[in-house]
Amino acid sequence: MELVSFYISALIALMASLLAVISRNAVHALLMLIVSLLAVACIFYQIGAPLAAALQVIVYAGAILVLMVFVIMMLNQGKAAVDQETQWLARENWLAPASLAGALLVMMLYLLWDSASRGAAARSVSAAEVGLAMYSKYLLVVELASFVLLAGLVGAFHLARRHTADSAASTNNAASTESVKSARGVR
Amino acid sequence: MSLRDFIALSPLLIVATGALVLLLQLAFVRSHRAAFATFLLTLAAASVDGWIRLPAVEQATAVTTLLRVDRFSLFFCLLFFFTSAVCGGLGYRYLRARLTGNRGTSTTLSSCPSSSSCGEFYFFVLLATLGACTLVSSQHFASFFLALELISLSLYPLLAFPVPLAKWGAGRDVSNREAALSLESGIKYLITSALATALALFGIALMYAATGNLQFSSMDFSRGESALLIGGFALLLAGVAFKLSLVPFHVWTADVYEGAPTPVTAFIATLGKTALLAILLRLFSEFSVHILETSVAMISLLAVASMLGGNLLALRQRNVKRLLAYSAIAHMGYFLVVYLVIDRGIAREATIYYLVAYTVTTLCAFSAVSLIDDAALSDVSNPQVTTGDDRNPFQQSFYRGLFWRSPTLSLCLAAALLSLAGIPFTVGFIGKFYLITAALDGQLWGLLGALIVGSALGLFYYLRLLLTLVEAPPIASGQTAGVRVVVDQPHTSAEPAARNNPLLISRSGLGLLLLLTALLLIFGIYPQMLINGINAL
Repeated sequence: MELVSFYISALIALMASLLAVISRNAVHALLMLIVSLLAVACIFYQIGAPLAAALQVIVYAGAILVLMVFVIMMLNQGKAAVDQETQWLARENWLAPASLAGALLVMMLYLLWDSASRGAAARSVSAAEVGLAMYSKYLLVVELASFVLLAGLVGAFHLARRHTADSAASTNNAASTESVKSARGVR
Repeated sequence: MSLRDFIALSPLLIVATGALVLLLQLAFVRSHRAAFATFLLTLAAASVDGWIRLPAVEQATAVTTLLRVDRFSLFFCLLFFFTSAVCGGLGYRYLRARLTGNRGTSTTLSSCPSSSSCGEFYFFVLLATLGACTLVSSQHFASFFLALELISLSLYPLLAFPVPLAKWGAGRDVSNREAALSLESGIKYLITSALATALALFGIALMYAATGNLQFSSMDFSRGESALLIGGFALLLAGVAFKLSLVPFHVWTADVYEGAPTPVTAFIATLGKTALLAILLRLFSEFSVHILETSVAMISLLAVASMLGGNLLALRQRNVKRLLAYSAIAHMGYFLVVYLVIDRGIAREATIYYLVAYTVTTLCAFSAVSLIDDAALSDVSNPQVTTGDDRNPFQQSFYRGLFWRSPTLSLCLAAALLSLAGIPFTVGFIGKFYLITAALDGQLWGLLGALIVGSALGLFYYLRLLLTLVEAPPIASGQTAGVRVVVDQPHTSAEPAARNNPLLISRSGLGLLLLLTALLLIFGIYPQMLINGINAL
């Protein structure tokens, strides 16, 4: 029974991810991505990690993707973006990479089927256990992660600030693309 | 975490504290020079601490299950402190040249909003150094992964570092071109690096599924292989190869190297790679990669492809930064050869020596390129000289006859090129000698052949650049003068002045370059000092 529910949620996750890739409207793609993340959360729950499942729903499906939906709606790409995506999805564009990835998938499935090794027996991991591990054994990981986030935060701020600080940059855009093109010619 | 752990980690803690202090300082004092001073002070304090503790560390100290501090990791921390100090110094010159390069125009620079945001450069360099030090100290995949991410995340903003845009005069075009190219290189690195991270993470997950443990020591191939372990290792290797730009995964390298600000190129070419190579030395010997036929085949393939591919791609390259990028790919291939004989004593010695040699040589080469670029820029902003792509200070044609204009700088660059090629009396020669000895020891004939063919190809393009340096300078007329320095003697006629005037290199930059060249020659002529040091690790 557990196996059946696992396969169902895994199938949903796969199909939703596939639809997210091939759907031409960005908002539709994001909605599919949310479904996919929810399905992954279901899998987390089934293998005994309720905290990870909850975080998956709250952080990924809840916060991050809603943010992305907002951004896409604000950009309001509309018809032009759909046309562009249609162009990108022409057969000659995806056939070669898809067949390569398919070959890899076959190889991977074979490897997995071939291997005799099995993961440890499923056991539920409570939130308290996660917290204890985080703040005793893996304390340094938490500290390191905070530095990674700090670097990302300051970096994003620093890179984004330029465009607001230098209004001249936008007026020079045409000139700069021109010079990039000519710089390309030199190579 | 006990007091013993804190003491063991002290160099890392100093760098982390320094980064935070620098960030706080920038909130109050937005001075470029003060930020640079804090940066140097932090690195000096961390180096002194590491230097004192290096002989005192008798055995490896495990700090929780994540990190392990021993002489090996401390030695590399010291090397990273040196690397980032040099790159920071180059960055200081680079930013200064862009902030003050337009002196003489009516607008004062204090009104340029970007000029105040240069201090962050040093913050990111410190964070990347912290990541590199954590990486060489890690013995657990959690810390390995996070340290790798810390390096990458601090490199993105550095690669696309907003250069203060000149909004006036002829310098504007140069500035805009630089900004666009560096932004592009940042995005390219972001995407390829994110892909590499995803691959490596998936590989780590598979290896975890196979062994049930994330410690390096628990993943020993000699204890029996499983398809999951090998599959995971292959993915991890692919991720690592992306970061090291080994040949099938090298496509991003030249563009990123070319577009990035030159000090950052030096940084990514040295610290970004040596940290990973150093930890691979520990990782691969824990894994005993040489036992398994599959892993040996994968690594040999990457090595041969990189040695031949990198050198072949460099052959027809006219842009000096791209040439150095391709030569770096080839050097990464040379490193991989040693990893196949990792069970022998000489492999460790050879890798560490070559890492030091590679760092010093690459830093020296990029310092010269960066200083030439800065000097050229201060000249481009001179409104008399028109700008264009033939004035690109990274093109080989710009280097023609450079020796006659600034002999010291050219000699330093020549020493670096000879060292990259592996000519005697330079550190690169001893390094390559070590590599070949290790390969002979392991009887890796095929790889040795590729190494020799690759080195021979390398000799060609390094020597060609060298010849360009001493070629007679082009006849200068007003139109085709190239980028020249402001004429020193205003009363002489234009042509002889353009022929003879030297590039204006700042004294501190030249001092840095001379120091690197001296190290390069000293370690090449008296390698015994460094070898003794490495053997004591």
